[in-house]
Amino acid sequence: MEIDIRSKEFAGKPVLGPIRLTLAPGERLAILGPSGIGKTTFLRIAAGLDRDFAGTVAAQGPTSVVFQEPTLLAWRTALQNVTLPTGVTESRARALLGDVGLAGKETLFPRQLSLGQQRRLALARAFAPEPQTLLMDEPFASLDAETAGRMLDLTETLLDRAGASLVFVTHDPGEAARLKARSLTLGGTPATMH
Amino acid sequence: MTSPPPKPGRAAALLPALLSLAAFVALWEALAALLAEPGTLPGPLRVLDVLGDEAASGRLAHATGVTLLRVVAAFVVAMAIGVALGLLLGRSGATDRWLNPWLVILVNLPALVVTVLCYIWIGLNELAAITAVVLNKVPLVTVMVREGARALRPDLDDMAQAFRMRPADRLRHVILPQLAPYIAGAARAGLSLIWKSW
Repeated sequence: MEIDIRSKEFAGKPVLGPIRLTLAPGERLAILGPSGIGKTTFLRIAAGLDRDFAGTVAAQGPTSVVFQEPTLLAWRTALQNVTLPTGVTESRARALLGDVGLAGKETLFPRQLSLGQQRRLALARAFAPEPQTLLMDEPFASLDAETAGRMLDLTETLLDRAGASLVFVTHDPGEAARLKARSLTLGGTPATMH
Repeated sequence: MTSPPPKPGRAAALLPALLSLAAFVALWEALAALLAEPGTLPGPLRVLDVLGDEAASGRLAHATGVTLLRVVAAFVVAMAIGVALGLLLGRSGATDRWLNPWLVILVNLPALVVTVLCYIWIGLNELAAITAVVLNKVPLVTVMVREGARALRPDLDDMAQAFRMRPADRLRHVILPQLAPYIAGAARAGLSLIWKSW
């Protein structure tokens, strides 16, 4: 994946750039930096959710996103929350739910799951389309230490198996080390990578 | 801690409604007897009499059937147009800025004016009747669904976009479930409006 942001502005005020990044297949990259510096903006640009910037993003193969919140369809079951957005078969979705420890919870609705389970469901959904690149926005931030630890291990296992590269935003250098990710820090005005 | 008052049983809950209805009929009968002019205010018994005659002749069933068909036709057409327009206006600020003045005019146009105009323009036929009711109802449905479309969750939009969901799947699994309460409200309000138009 190649990201080349010349500049990104909000209401005429430059917030990002210039930023050039090349991500090799399987490479893991953690983006650190203080709140409000533009980490989420950077990730939204990389995900193709924000196209209002000067520059280019080129991805090889499918890209998946894990958002800050689980962002599930409250009116669909756990299984449907994997199959409907991604278009994968039910059997693949079942296997993925098993991988993230949600076997037997296929027919439950998101509100019947704990926050940790909802996040694992979001993780299963992200891995469903066999992404080449996984983008994660502070995915472990609102979890208690134990749950966050389990989520980190699970993410590591699934990443290893899929061979996908990872870009994830965090404010915790410990998470970056645990996922064996190269760390870059976003800082300055407008923010650039260091 | 205060406990909620015990819920009355089904029959007990129905009792006030039945008594209230009986009181209405009694008041009606009393007024009719007091006035003693069946041409101006026929009593409920007299109305029931006529109703019985009409039912026996088959005219009542026919007229009810025709009205029901009109209601269904007008309801389906008005809901389809109103939901589509409401979704469009709620999602697209530019379209809303252009069409909102029209909507304000149409919402405030007296139903009677629209109905009379339709009869003049189209003729005294079924099409005119259905068109008039559709025109009266569409703005209401549009305004209610637009409210819902404005409240659609942007995070779910992002999710659908990130996973490249097909537009039809997005509509069915992401957008319509969020709009459901607004559509149901519009349907309820619209149905009573349509029913009273005939």
